[in-house]
Amino acid sequence: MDMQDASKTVVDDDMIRLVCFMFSNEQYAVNIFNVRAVIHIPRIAPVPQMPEFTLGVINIRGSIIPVFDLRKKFGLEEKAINSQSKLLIAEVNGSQISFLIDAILDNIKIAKSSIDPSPQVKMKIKRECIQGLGQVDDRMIVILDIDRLNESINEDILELSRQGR
Amino acid sequence: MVQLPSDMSPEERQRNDSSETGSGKTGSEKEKPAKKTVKNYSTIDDRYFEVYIDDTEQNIEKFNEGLVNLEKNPDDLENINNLFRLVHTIKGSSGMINIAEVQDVAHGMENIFAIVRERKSAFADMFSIMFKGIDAINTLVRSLKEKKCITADVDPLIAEFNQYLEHLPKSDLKKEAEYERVALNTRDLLEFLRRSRQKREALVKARAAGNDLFKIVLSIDENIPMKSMKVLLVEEHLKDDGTMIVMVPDADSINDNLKGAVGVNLLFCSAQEEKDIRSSILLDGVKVVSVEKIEPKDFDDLIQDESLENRASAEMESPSEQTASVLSVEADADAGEAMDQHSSQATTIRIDTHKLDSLMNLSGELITIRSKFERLLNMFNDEAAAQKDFMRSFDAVRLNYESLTKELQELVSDNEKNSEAQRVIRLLDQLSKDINVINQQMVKTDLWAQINSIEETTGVLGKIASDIQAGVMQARMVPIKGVFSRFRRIVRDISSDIGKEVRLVIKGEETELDKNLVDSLGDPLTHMVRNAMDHGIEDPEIRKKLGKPAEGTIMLRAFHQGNNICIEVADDGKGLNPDFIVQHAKEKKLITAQQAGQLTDKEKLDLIFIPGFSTAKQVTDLSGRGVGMDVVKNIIKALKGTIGIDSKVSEGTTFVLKIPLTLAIIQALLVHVGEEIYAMPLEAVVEVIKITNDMIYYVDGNAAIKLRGHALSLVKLEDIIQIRGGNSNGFEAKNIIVITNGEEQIGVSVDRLAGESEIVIKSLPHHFSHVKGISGATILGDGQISLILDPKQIITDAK
Repeated sequence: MDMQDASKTVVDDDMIRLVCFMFSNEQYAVNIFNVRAVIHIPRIAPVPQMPEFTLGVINIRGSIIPVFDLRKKFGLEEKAINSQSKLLIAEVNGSQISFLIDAILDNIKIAKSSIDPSPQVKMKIKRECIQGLGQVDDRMIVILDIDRLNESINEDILELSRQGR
Repeated sequence: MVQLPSDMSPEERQRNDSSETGSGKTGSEKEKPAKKTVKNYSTIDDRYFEVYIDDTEQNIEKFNEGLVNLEKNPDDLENINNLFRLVHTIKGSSGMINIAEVQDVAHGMENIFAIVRERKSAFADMFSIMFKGIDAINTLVRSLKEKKCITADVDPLIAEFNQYLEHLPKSDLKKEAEYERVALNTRDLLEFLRRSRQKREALVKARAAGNDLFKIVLSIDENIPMKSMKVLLVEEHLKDDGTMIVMVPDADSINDNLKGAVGVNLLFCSAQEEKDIRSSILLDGVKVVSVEKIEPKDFDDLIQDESLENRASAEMESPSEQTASVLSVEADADAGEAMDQHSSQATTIRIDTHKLDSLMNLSGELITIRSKFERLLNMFNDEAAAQKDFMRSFDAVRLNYESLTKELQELVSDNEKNSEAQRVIRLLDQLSKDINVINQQMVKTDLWAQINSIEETTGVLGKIASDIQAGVMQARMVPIKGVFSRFRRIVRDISSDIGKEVRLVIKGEETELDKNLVDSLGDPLTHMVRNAMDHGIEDPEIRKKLGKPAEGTIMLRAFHQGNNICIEVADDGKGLNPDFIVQHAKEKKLITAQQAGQLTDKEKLDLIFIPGFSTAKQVTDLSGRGVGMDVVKNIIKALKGTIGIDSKVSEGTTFVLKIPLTLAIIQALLVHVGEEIYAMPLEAVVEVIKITNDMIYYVDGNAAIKLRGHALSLVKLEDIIQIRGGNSNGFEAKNIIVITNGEEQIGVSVDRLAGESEIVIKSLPHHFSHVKGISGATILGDGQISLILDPKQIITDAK
């Protein structure tokens, strides 16, 4: 299990540090504050009665963490897991969640002010889960709003369980 | 913690001023508009605050219990002393962190109790004001606990106390009472001497100079503002007449904010007479309660005992350090008592429950690691077995080789000087020797002995892990007394409110349970006791007509049963009538007439747990929420417990709560379904059977088998849990786990069994809280996650 420990924090006021990764042929990023680790995908224990995008749970040093497949959640084209696929473990609201990423890229620093909060381009994932669009050199990076993503996941789960009654 | 006048707000200053003149609140006789001020206490250090709230809550409980008993037995002197001490402690600890309101109320109560103590008997008319007082303190403490501020105005209550005090008969025993109140036991005073070599040496010196040892008891008047200064003055004055050996408390440890008189006890060496000593301590505000000579025989052993020389290590801190702990009070009669307790009882230590929680987690990890060890050991065993097989095979090879060599040698006789043959024979011989050497070496490595010792050690490790786990769980266990004690007061209050005579019987209050449970059980139990009193117990006249004793009985009983704690709330009242309940449920449109017709009497009783059933508009519990039996059931369910009803019309009703003790670690049966492993709590498993397809028959499309003459419904685990990708064929020859919820049984089919194991229960992340049939997860020895099944839910869903 190789891990990139997200411990460096940003000191400058306007600058934030992002952990970038490939997802569905595009570059995405999460604020490093919210990233606990990026790891090889361990054995996932499936949990029944959950939406398809919930793959199950994993054991990280005694903690049980849910695993989500965002492709399934946002209805994107499926892709088989390969050797480059990883799991990004994020911390949000005091608890941890994780989701599949296609490949890990680098950490970059970006000025908050340079992030475009309402991009005109059509996004693959739900608009509300996006914090904004960042541009570094000639790269376009979609910055995820991890809090909102977590809420959206919870809403979907709740919806399914309500239907089940 | 002395507040300088400049630190205080004008309000606080005024409050302090008025209290210094000792007249209680000024203008208390006139009509005063209620003060609407909010007194904020948020600046108090959290740690002290928590400790204060905790302790005071406990003391309030004890006080309530004691007061109810005192009402029944007003001459119980031990109880009186106990109650006095409790209210004195509440006053003191409140004073320590400057919570004036509580301090004032406690002070008022203490004053009354002081007189009661002298008199050695309670006044019949004092109880209503006492209960009022302790309730006021309770309200104040709760307000502090929830909002860290006080909005109530205690002045009217203080005025009431003063009024009551005025009309009480004063006695001439006051002087003796005062001595009792402030004096330390001589023996305890001498104890200070015993523990300090310095003091003993001072005494030896003074005695050598022909001085006598006196015990002086002083009382510093409560109206003196700077008591610590007065004590310093006393010290100064006495210096001229002799040597101060022991002073308790010394000037440094006196808290000037404490209300009431302060007692000072001294051991003083002097050549003077008693009356001379008395006159030298003639100071304003200092009353000399007693001066008495201590007989040499009482302390000679202290200064002559040589072994004391070696007790350097047993020297105690000076009295000032001793008495200045966060919650210690004025060092008067209490200090002596506290010291007594310290030396005779086991010491207790206050510990944050979070620390215990982490210990619990660690002990759980230890159990998991032990399982890992056992697995490794098994692998080791397999290796060793394989090696043994190898050795056997090798030995067979060796024997074959030897016999082959022998045959060959016989065939080639010495006569045939066939050098080629001879050479081969020599080589074979050499090889034979090598084989023997290898064989010797193999026999030497005794893997088995090593495995045995590892096995032994793992066994010891396992035992220690279990013991640690048990120990940590024990550490969190507290007697249920803490929950039950409040009911004496509750039953007394309601009893008089509603005009029914009810007595409370408590059994098994020493039964222990996890501290977490204690906090959760208070409200549900209170609701049930109130119900029993309101709706269960009949009016005295009705009871007499029925031939029952006029006094109703409510019984609270707690006991352990297996891994659970059982709590019964029983009354001998009118019982629950299934027909009335059904009627009521129909009226409230909770069930249809048709559904009602299908219920057994027992099931009809369970209707009271449906939300919306509760009859009266009950704003019962302390925090003002309405509580119905459905809420009670939910709380018990959240604790993974059950609640059952046993009732007979006109005889009474008993509620039985059954709650598991060890929430964290259980025995489970591990089963395979497909690739995944699931854990079934062993306490729900009746048996495990293997069936063949021909044993299965179908009723209405549901599978069942005949087990010892009874029908047993079958379900597939993958169906009931809705495991994705389960195979939808019928049952094949499978393993069936027969599980029970205490009443019914069903058979659950799984692919394979994976043995029993002790598992640590971990909760699933909140995302999974709606999954039915799964109650948590555990991490197996190899790191794999196993979901824990919920047998009760499975049985319910199977229907």
